[in-house]
Amino acid sequence: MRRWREAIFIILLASVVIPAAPGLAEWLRLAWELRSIPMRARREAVFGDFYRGVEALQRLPLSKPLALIRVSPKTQDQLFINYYIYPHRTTTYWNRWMYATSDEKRRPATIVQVGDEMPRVVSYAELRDFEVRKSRVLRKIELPQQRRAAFVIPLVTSIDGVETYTVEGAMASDEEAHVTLTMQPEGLVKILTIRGPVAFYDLVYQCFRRMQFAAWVQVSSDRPVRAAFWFVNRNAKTAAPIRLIDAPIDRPMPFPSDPTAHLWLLNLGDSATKVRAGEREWNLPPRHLSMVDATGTVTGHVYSFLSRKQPNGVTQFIWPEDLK
Amino acid sequence: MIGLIVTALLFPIAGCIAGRRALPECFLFGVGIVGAAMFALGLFHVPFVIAIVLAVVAGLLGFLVAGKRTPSNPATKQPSNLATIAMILPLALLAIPTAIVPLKDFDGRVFWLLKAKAIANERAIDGPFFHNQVVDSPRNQYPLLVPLDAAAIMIATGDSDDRQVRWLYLMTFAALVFLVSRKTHPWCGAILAWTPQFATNGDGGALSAYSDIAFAAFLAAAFFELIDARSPVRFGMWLSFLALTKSEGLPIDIILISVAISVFRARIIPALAPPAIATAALIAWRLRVPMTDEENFLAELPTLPARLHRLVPAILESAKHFFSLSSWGLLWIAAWIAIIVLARRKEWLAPATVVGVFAVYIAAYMVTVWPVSDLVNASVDRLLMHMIGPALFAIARVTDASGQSRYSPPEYPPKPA
Repeated sequence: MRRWREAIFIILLASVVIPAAPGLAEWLRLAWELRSIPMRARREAVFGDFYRGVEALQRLPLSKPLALIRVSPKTQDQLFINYYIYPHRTTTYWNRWMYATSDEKRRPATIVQVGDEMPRVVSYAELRDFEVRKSRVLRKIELPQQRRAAFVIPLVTSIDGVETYTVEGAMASDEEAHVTLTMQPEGLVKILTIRGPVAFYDLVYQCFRRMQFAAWVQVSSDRPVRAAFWFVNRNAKTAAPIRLIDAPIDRPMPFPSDPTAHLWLLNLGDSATKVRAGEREWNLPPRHLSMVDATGTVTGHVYSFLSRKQPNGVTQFIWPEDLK
Repeated sequence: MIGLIVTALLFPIAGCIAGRRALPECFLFGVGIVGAAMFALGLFHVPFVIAIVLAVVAGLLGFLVAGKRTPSNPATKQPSNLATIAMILPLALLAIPTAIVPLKDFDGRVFWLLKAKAIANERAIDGPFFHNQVVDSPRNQYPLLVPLDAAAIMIATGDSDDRQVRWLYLMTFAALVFLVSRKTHPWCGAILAWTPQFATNGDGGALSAYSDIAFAAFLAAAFFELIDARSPVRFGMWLSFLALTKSEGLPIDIILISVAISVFRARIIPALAPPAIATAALIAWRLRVPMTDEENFLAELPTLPARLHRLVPAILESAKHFFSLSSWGLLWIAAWIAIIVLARRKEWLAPATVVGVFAVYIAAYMVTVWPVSDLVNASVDRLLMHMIGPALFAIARVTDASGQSRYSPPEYPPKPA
C-alpha cells in the first residue's frame, strides 16, 4: 500500500518534471550565453533594439519631461520605458492626436516615438511622417500621357489641423530625368533623379522635411516627365486632383462670391503684383500664395483658384480653366 | 550579490518576531511583516529606514525572548533523501538564471517593481508617483506589500536595479516549497518545486517579479495555521499579509475566516484584529491616492445577479486549465480527486478553502465586462497558484498514510495505522 502511494507521488513528480525540463533548460541556456557580459549588455541581448533605445533615453537630462507617444495601437512599450527610465518624468499619449490636441503649454516638448521600432526622440514632424508613410489614400495612381519639362503645383501642404492634409502623387520618366522641385516662397530646393515612376505619400515632407500649411512648388526637369498630384485629407480618406499649371491667367476669372470657400491668389512672378477680387484689392509679394475670402471675380497677373471643403471632408477645387 | 545577502538576512531575522520557527516560515513571516510594517508606518510618513530597523530589532527580540523552537512532529522528519534532492535540485538550478538573466516578465516590471522603484526613490507610499505626477502609474491602488519588500532591498543595497531584488522572489518560492514539504510531505515539496507554473513560467513564476508566489505562500501558511489550530493571532497575521499583497486578499480573508471559525471557534476573535487593521490601512491609503486603470470589483459586485449567465463559461474555461499538463502536470487533476475524497470523508478544511477561493475568482470573472475566455486564459493559472498549499495538503492527506499522523486537532486526528 505504501509503495502504491509512493508510486503516485513519483507519477505526479514525473508529470511536472517532464513539462518543466525544457523551460528550465531554456533558462539555463540563456544564462550560459549571458554569463560573461555585464547586465546592460545582457538586457541588450534579451530585449534588442528596444533596450538600446531605452539606454539613449536614460542619458537624457532628468529635468526634461518626455512625451511618450504610441505609433502602434498594440504596443505596450511605453510601460517598459517608464520602468527602465524611472524617475524620468513622462506623460503617455495613446496616439499622435492626443498629443496634438493637448495643452501646448503643459505637454512635454520632447517627444519619444514608442512602438514598432526602438524608442527614440523625434520631432513632431518625424513622428507624423512615421505614421503617414505607412499608408496612402490613393490606391492606384494613373498618370496622364502629357509630358512636361516645367510646371507648377499651385498648392501643396503637409499639415495637421483638425485633420491631416498631405499631397500625394507621382512622377514618371522613361529615361533618367533630373527633376528640380522648388518650394516657394522660401525657395527650398530638392533635386530628384527619376527613372520609371516615383510616388509620393506626402510630397512636402518627403522632399523638404518640413510641415507647411500652404505653399506651391515649381518643377523643372531635363527630360519631360508625366506627373499628377492630389490634395489629400487623410482622416476623411479623400483626394482631390490638383491642376498642374504653367503660367498666370491674365484674363478676369469669374469666381463666385462664396462665404464658405477660400480664394487662393498665386503670384508666380519675381516681382510684386496687384490683384483684385470683387471689390477688394491686394498687393501680392513675389512668389507668394495667399488665401483670402472668395469675394468675386479676380483680375490681375496671378493664377487663382477656389477651394471649398464639403461636409464629407472632400476638398473641392474650382480652377479658372473650368470657369465659363 | 548584496541583494542576495540582504534578502537572505533581512526577512528571516524580521520573521522571528513571531518566535523561533522553521527558517521557511520565518522568511515568509519576515516578507509579510517588513512589507506590512513599512505600509502601516508609511501611512504616518515614518521613514522606511526606521520601519525596517524596527522590524529587524523586533525580529531579533522575538528570536531571543521566545523559547526554543517547537520541535516538529516527528512524522515530518522522515528521512527522504530522494525527495529532498528532487526538491532542492530545481531551486538550485533556478538560482543560476536568477543571478544572470535580466528580469523580462510583464507585470513584474510594469506594475510591481515600478512601484518598488518609486517607493525606494520617493521614500513614501503616497508620493508624486502615486499621484501620477511622475509617470502614468498603472494599477495605482494595487496593494503594496511585495513592492515594499523589494523597496526595502533597494534601500538597503542603495541600488534600484531589479537585479538586487530577484532573490526575493526565488527565496519566497523556496520558502513556500520547504513549508509545503514540511507541512504536507517531502514529495509534495518536490512536486511543487518542479511545477512549471511556479518554476519556469516567465509570468508569475519564481523567475518573474509577480506577487503571486508570495500570495500563495501566505495563503498556504494561513491554511497550515488552521491545520495546526494553535495560534489564531499568527493565522490573523497571515491574513493581514494576504490583504496587503493582492486585491483578492480581502475576499479570500473572508473565506479563510469563515473556514477558521470551525477551527478556532471562540478563539477566532484575536485572529480578526490583524486583517482588520490591514484592511483599515489599505482603505486609508486608497483614499489618498487616485484609482487609475484597475478593475473595481467591489463596485461591480452588485452586477453579479445580472451576470449569472457567465457562471458556467467561467467554470468551464477555468476547469480547462486543471488539465493544462504543460503548466501543472497532473497536479490539479490529483488535487481535485483528493479534494473530493476528503469531502466524502467529511474532512472539510482543504475542500472548503479550495472551493471558497476558487469561488471568489469565478465571481470576479463573472462581474467583469471582459470576455470570459480572454480573462481566464490571462489569469487563471496564476490564481491556481494561490491555492497550491491546500491542494497539496489534500493530495498528501489522501495519498500518504503516514501524513495522517502529522495533523492533530481538531479535524485531522491521527488514525491508527
